Order: sequence, then C-alpha cells, then structure tokens
Amino acid sequence: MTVKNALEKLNALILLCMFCITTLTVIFRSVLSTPASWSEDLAQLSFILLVFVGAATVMEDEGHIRITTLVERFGPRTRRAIRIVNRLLMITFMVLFAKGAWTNAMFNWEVDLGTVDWIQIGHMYMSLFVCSLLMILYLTLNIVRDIKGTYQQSDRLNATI
Amino acid sequence: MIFVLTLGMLVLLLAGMPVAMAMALSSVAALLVSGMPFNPTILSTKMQFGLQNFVLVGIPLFILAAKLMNTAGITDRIFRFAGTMVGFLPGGLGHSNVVASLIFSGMSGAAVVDAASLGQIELEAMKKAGYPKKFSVAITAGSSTIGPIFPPSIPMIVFSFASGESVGRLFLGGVVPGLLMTLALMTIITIRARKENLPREPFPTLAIATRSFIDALLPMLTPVILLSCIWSGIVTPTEAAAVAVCYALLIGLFVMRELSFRQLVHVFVETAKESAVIGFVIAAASLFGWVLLRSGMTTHIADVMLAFSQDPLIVLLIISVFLFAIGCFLDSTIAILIFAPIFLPVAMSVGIDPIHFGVAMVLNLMLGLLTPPFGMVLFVMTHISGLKFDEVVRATLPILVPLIAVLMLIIVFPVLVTGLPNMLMGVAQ
Repeated sequence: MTVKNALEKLNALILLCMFCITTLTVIFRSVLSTPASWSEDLAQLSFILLVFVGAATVMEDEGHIRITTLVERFGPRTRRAIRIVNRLLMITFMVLFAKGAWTNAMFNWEVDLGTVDWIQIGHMYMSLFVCSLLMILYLTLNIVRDIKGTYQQSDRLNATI
Repeated sequence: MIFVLTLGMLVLLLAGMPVAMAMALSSVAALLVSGMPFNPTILSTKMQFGLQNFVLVGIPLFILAAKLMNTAGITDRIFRFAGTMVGFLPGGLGHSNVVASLIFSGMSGAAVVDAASLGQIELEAMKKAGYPKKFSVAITAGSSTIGPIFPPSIPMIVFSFASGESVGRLFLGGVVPGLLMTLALMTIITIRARKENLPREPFPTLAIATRSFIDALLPMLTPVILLSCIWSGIVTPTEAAAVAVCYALLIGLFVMRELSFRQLVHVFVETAKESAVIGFVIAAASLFGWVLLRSGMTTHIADVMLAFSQDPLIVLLIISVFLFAIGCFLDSTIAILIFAPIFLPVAMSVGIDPIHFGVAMVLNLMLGLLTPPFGMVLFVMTHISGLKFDEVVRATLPILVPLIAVLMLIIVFPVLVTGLPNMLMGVAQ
C-alpha cells in the first residue's frame, strides 16, 4: 500500500467518523433527550482534518480545481515551465503555511477544545502542519517527475463537483 | 492592495494554478504589499477557521448520500418511474429525463453528479428510442441544473456559509424555482416534440405503473423525509444530511441489496476526495474573503453600485448580469464564496430579501454550468455522449432560454422564492 493509498483510506475513515458523530448528535438530542455538547465541535474538527488530509492526497494527482483552458493552448515545453513555476509558488505558500501552523500548534498545545478536554487545539494545528509537509513533498516530487519527463497529468473532472 | 489581490488571482488562475492556491497566494501578496505586519500564523488560523462551521459538514454527507443511492442502482428505478409518469406525453423520454432529474435532485444536490450518473442512463434510453442525439444531450444538460436548486442543494449550503443565512430557508426557497425549471423544460420539450414529431412511450398499464412506483418509492421519499425533518425542527439541515446517509445505507444494504463492502469503501474514498477539493477552496476563500474585506473593495463596489441605482429590481438585474458573465468563467462554489460577501450587503441595503438573493444567485451561477468555456456539465456531456465539445455547446445553448426565463421570473417576483419559507418557517426578522 502506497502512502497515498493509506491517506485515502485514512480520509475515508475520517468521513465515516464525521458521519457517525453527526448521527449521534441527532440520536442524543432527539431520542435520548440529552443534547451532546461535544458532537458539533468534533464533527467540525473531523471536517477540517478531512479537508487537509484530502487536499494533501489530491495534491499528488494535482486534482484540485483549476482552469486550464489558456494553458492548454501552449506547447508542451511552455506548459511544463508554467507547471514548475506554479508548483514553486505553491511550495512557497505551503512553507509559510507550515511555519504558521507549527507556531500555532506550539502556542495551543495545552489548550483543549472546550467541549472535549482530551483533544487539544494544538493537535489540530499539528495535523495541518503534517498535511502541509505532505503537500510540499508531493509538489516537490511532481517537479522532479516533470524535470525527468515522467510526469502524467490526471483527469481533474474526477475530483470536481 | 485591491489591485494586487484581483490581478494576482486572475493571473494565477489563467496560469492554471489550483483555484484554492490562487486565492491563498494572491491574499498573501496583497497582505505583503499593504504594508501591514505579516504573520504566517494568520494563514492556518484563517483557513481552518473558515472550515469551523457545522453547516459545512453537510457537504460531504450530502455527496455521500447521493453516491450511495447511485451505487445502489436507484437511478435506474427513478428513470423507469419517471417514464411511466410522463413518458406518454409528446417527446416522452425528454419529459422522463427532466422528471427523473427533479426526483434525483431530492437526494443529490449537485448538477455534475446528476449529469454524470443519471445522464448516462437517460442518453442511452433516448438513443435507443430514436431521439436526436443533440436534443437528448441538451435536455440532459439542462435538467441536471435542477439538482442544485431543488433541495437539498450543495451550492445553497455554500451560500449559507458565505452569507450566514439559514440553510433551511434557502432549501425551501429553492422548491418553487426548481419546479418552475422543470415546467419550463417540459414546455420546451413539448414544443420541439410537436414540431419534429418526436416519439412517445405507450400509456402504461396499471400493473407497470404500480410496479415502477413501488420500485422508486423509497428513494423518492428522501426529499420528503429530509424537508419534513428540517421543517419540524427535529434536525438541522446538516444533521438531515446524516439522516440522508443513514437512509441511503438502509436502502442500499437491506432493501436493494446492491451495496457490497468493496463498493462502500470506494464510495467513502471518492466522497472524501471530492469533499476535500471543495473544502480546500472554502478554506482558501475564507482567507481571501478576510483580505478582501480589509482591502475595502466590498465597500467600494457597494458605493459604485448604489450610486448607479437604488431600485432593488435594477440592482438585482445588474448583479445578475454580472454573475451570469462570471458563471461562464468561474466554478459556482468559488463564485459564491467570492461574490456573495460582496453583493449581499449591497442587495440587502436596497431591501432585497437575502433568501431571494441567494436562490437567484445560485440559479444564475448554475447556468454557468451550461455555458462555455468552463461549463462543467458541458464537459461531462462531451465525455458521456461522444459528441465534440463545440457540438455539445451548440446543442445546449437553446436550453438556456427557458432557464433564463425562470431566473427572470424569480427576480421580478421574489414571492416565488420567499413565499414557501415564509409560509412554513415564518417571516424572517
């Protein structure tokens, strides 16, 4: 199993947890008449994780929504150059993002979620930090693949609603 | 700052940069040139904060429910049932196509999902029955836009997130426009069918009608269950999405018995991936929106528009023309996230109801799915029909006429949108 496959399965698991938590919210309130204060916070936290873990996974296929109509009119060499410049810019952003996420993680390491005392806000920022490192890794790998000539662009339609 | 923000994003978008990254990078560039102190912690803070909204949890869950229903073979049953209901009318399968989309929209909420799943079955059936391929493509593309208008609707959830308006009211506000779109498309089909003598299905026997009704009954109950749960206050719209998933799982696993474990895993993986793509754009849009607000651009645009006219109808028409043009180039989620915070305050300042504005905005942007160069439904239709992209575009353009007519109707008569939510949930304060 590749890292990407493992991440995909992990994200599917996060989605399953999010679904269970949201369902529990309804059961606790409507069936057991004891509203669960923790469930909304946990569902939101799982959504944040789902988005960032998923964004890192999709980064390898470069399946994020993009407009390619203009770029597709250029020749293969120009397209490759644009792709590399784009990735370098994205890496720059992700480095800044990772730096900020790390600082936030350290700053909030002892701060709990409020409704769930065993989850710290710092844990959430740490997962954002890890995901940003993964994105940097995948972007760098794709630059290397492009330079070597082994890069293959994926079909973005599959990842678009 | 405004210049760097807008020009930066435009250049990056045209250079093929992922939309989320284009938003995030132009926001960073605008912050750097503004001269304000820049702290990288703001990036992760704003982006995760944008996702900290319980309403957004509904997006992956509604996608999951639609995918589960689709994998369980429900789309086939819905199309068969629609055929027995309206197939005997002139241009029968065209009507079935539209009615099936209306029923399917009660569980999907996304046009591309409708076009890609139901579209294949519809095109195949229409081809077998001898309908012109271009006509079939046009109707399938047009009918798929009902999905995001009729509840539940993913773009409405996104609008609710961007504007802070009630998802329940937005869902209810989309019911009448969704039905009007259905009627408008069916009218066009009848006119074409009479003119070109298109085939119609035989009138169904009672046994066939009953059989197809029973087959499609459970999936058809989805929107009824969801709306009644939301309306009665048992669940919030986000929780309704979880109820929809439970219901889809029950039908798929125990009634239809067509969902295997392997299929379930695949559906969960794909849903997580698609949700992450949308969520990442939302996260970046939160950062972008924050910078946009600091740049003063929203106030500037409001001043310019209000100096031009303060008549609600004219303001809404101007915004609609702008959004229609934008919809041709930008994905609806992104357009809502960028422009709802800009235009909604302008609309509200001249007395336009936010629910009316939201539904009109979503309907308007859905038309962008059918217009070149970036109409996603056009890409899907090209993919599944085997026609060339320009052939699909030429075939689909006439179908925009009835849909634009519905848009105009709801712009001029706000009660068509606000009537139902006001009646069932009371007038908003």
